[in-house]
Amino acid sequence: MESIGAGLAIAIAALGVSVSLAVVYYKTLDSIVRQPDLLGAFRVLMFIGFAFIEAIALYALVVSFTILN
Amino acid sequence: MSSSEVLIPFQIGAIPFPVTKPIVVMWCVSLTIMVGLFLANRTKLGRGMLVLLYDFISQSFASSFKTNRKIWFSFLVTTFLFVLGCNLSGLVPLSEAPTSSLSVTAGLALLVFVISHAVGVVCHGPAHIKHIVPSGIPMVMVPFMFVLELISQLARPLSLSIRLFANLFAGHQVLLIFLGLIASAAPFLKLLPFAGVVLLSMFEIFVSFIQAFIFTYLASFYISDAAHGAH
Repeated sequence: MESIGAGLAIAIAALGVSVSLAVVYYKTLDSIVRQPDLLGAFRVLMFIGFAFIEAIALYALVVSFTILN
Repeated sequence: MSSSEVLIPFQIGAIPFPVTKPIVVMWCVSLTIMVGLFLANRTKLGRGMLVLLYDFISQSFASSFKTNRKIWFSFLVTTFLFVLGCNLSGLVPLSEAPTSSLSVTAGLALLVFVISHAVGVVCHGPAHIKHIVPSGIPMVMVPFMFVLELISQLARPLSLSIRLFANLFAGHQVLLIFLGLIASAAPFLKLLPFAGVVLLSMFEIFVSFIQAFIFTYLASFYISDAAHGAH
């Protein structure tokens, strides 16, 4: 039962996080195509956004590790 | 979260202060930063790198402060280098990243929380509590907004600490799982998890930099927000 819960915890989080990462990447590519001069600024902003979003999946990963232990 | 074994048992009165591995690693990181900065200041190449570091910190973080920029610059550069050193020390053999234990990150986040509110009280006096609620909203909404903003203020150190902790802890757990795969894989397949470990270690270096950047960025944002009350 615990292993199912741990799997569900990370699976649901990964579902949401993958969608939001896709949105961020899609929008960044869109902006780069519109304004190629600002590539460096967009890249930095994109990575900051990635790190914020990824943290949510990592919360779920920590929760699932805690459930398994 | 992770309970490491006690290296040196140490006690003041009845309160135990056990010296564990993360504490020793933190001492080493602080010493490395101090000695490294001192030595870097003596060579031409080192001074050039220090100028790059100065530009990076002052453009990314210190630019959000309008007053006392010099004092805040020293705080931010210390925070950035310490968190970065603690993150990177997890990749050194026999070492353990202090930031992959929740107590260390919670301590750092509480430091930022206390500093931001102390700065708010020093700059605005008792009016600091009014700055929590954004101005320009109808009077009817003020009590609700106050409660909401209070919760968000209290959630700040929580999210700040758990973000750093979760990134480092989860990264090291995944690395450990891949190392276990090396041990359990068939001999002709051992190269696959090994390549995974190498790639993940590189990714961990990247994560260390990004997380140190984000921690310092959020710290500078919270403190300058309390000091200037931009809303």
